[in-house]
Amino acid sequence: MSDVKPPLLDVEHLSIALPASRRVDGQGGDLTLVDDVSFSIRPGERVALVGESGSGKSLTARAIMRLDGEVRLTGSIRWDGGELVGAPEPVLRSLRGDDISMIFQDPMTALNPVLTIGEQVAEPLTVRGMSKTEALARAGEMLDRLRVPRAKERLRAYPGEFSGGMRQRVVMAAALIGQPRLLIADEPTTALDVRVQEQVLDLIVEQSSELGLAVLFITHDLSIVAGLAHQVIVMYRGRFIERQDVDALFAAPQHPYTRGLLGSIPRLDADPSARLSTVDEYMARSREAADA
Amino acid sequence: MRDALIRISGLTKRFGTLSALDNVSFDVRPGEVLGLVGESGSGKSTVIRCMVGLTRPTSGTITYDGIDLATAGRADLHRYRRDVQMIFQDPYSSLNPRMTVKQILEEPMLVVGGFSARQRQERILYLLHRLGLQEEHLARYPKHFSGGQRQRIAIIRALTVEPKVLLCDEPVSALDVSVQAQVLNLLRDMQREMGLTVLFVAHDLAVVKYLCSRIVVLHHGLVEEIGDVAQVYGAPQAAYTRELLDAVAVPDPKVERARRAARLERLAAAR
Amino acid sequence: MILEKEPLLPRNSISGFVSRTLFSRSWPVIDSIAFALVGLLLVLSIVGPWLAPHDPYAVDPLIALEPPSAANWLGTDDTGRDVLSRLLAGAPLTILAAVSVVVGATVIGVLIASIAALSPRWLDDAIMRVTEIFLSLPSLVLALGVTAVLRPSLSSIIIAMVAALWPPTARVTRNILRETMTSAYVESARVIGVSRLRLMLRHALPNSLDAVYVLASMEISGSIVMMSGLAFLGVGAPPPSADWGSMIASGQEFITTAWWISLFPGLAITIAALAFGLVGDAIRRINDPASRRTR
Repeated sequence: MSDVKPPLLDVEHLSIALPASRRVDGQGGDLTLVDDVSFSIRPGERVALVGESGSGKSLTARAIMRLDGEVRLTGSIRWDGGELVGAPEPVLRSLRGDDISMIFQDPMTALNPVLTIGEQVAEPLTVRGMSKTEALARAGEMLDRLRVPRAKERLRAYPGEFSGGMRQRVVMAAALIGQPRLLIADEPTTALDVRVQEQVLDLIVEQSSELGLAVLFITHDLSIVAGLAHQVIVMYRGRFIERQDVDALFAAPQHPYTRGLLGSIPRLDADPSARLSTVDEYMARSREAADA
Repeated sequence: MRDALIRISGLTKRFGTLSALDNVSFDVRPGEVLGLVGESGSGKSTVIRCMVGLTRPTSGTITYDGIDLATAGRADLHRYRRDVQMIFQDPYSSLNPRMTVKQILEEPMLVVGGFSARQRQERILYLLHRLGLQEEHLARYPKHFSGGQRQRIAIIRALTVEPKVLLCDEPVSALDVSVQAQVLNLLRDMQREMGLTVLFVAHDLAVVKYLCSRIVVLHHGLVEEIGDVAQVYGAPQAAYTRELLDAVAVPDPKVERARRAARLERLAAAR
Repeated sequence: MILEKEPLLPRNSISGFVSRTLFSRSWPVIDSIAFALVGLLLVLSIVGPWLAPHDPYAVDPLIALEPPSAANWLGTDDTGRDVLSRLLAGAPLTILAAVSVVVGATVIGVLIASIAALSPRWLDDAIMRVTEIFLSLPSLVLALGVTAVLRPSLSSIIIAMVAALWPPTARVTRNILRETMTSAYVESARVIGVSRLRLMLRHALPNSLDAVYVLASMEISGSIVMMSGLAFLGVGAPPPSADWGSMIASGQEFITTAWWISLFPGLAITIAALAFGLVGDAIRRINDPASRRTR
């Protein structure tokens, strides 16, 4: 990870709001979902965006590619120097699948059951004009790279024949085939079993290192972030509450919420007779200390 | 006192050609917290479902306090239903959206019978306060509560009839991290206070270690290992158990990086 | 301001429904129109006959086949009866009749569906197979059969329609109930040992009724058209019934010359069917997004 390269993605004072007209009861003014967040990602850097449900982490990541049409973005998202907020749709479309690509949580529904995996992995290339034969050849290579067994033969197979972990690899192959510079992964392992989760995370780290691929990894699980990320951002109710280097964050978390999250995870190496502290307890303790 | 409160013996469940459970046997001892661990498809949820009658096993027996459930008479079954309560995984769908909290909490006592209106009220209020909720919550509907609160309501519901056994089907998996610890502590506290016997189904090994004293490891419907938590986690006998333990991430960057490097090295060497 | 806590989802009650829908700024216009129309139609079917300017059954050959005028806003038919008055008189015969058909079919259908859903698989299948046999009888044949046995009248046609409508209602409702019964809260109740009756009345039915309401409004829509069609074919209340289907029939021969006799009842049927259908859509839309959880 180099300090000299300029950031690939530079987000400044981004706010995401749901306009009043779109709200459930149509009242109450705009609902601010994400408030004034700023961060940047350098080439090859892996950034983890950690938060619980309702924290706004998915929204923030999705805003980069403007996937949610009904929200309003204010602030700046600069990709490679160019401003994305307010940019016309064709600009974003050219980025998606090419420079920036995304994988989602549920591998079971991410693939179209009536198309072969070869077709789906090759799609980012074929829609950009590459010949089908060449695209399929590259698809086979990519699947091979991601250690899908007998990749070239399986190109004609359908998603239904694959397990969850394998499907996630197929999804990753499709995401990486266009040689993106940034991969956004929205809770890609939450729905997977532990062993499969480990494999998928290993793959992400491996490919990221080999291809110089930057990764924005969204999750609620702090434990998997430890070995994966360079930079960790903790989100709570639409705000960034802590942003640090991974080693620094785990060694000395600053915000009581982060401390609470870390402290309340049951650990394999913990003393089982010790009582688990809850996040609320951490936050209360810090308030008491502040009052004292 | 018998050594096994519940005995699962040769439990098998087949769906067509698929074996969800294959000759599963284990004991649940009185007062213990037994963990039932496995990945998806291991059959752990099926075991619980057989125990509460939601699924009928293909073969095998389930014995409670010496009584075979398959041949039990009405009185024994009634006692079983009172003694054995269940907590479901998804707090968002395990409470009837059209019943108030009070109605939800009262129902088991009404069904089991033998609780006067005053006893019901007392029981509910006591448990409500004990688990950190307020009396005004009784008139509201489940939709007004967060996941953690709903799970607490589900726990209260289970405890109202003074059960002896609590079957928990992944009760914290669907909850946010910040809430998990709270619910786990509550379960631990209530188990100790009431001397409950708990069967705790989970996929998260660290959570199981926190709560349980003994553990059963399932894989594709087969029992891989049974033993004390300290022993199984310290020196696992089955290769599968070892794999599961190895795959658990530790919140320590240096450790994780080292482990990943070792794994990738092994993979590269294997190619 | 910043973030509210988890937004409170709408309450499950009529007042919640009303406040949630009518006072919402994001209420689609089409839904308001639909509800207003249905309201208007129901009111008309109750008070309509009293509002009629002329006697709907008064025959007056002197003013037969008159086009719409100041005296007869929608014209007169071939026997001199005022079309508007007949339309108003026919409103209860068409709309309330359709509503009673659906109410009857729904009550029977829900009852049978409940029994089937609670039964062991084999009995459930048996009940459904029998239901499907009834389903396979075309309603026209059924209607003819029933009216052959009973005297042709409005009540006999209602009975025939109920006989034709309860099977599909039962089948759809049973599927909805079975689906609801897979929910965790229903399983939770079974685990507690709740009796089957209570399971149905307390847990399964109340949570399935939303879908039943939608089904019912769609069926009212369909019944209006069906009954009018049957009346048009002569299998309905005998003349001089002012139900809209019969009105269209009586205007058939004059379609090119005195088009108003068939047109207005035809329009009325179309509007009524559309309105009830849109209401069904509206109910479905209201219940659907509200039930989506925010996690």
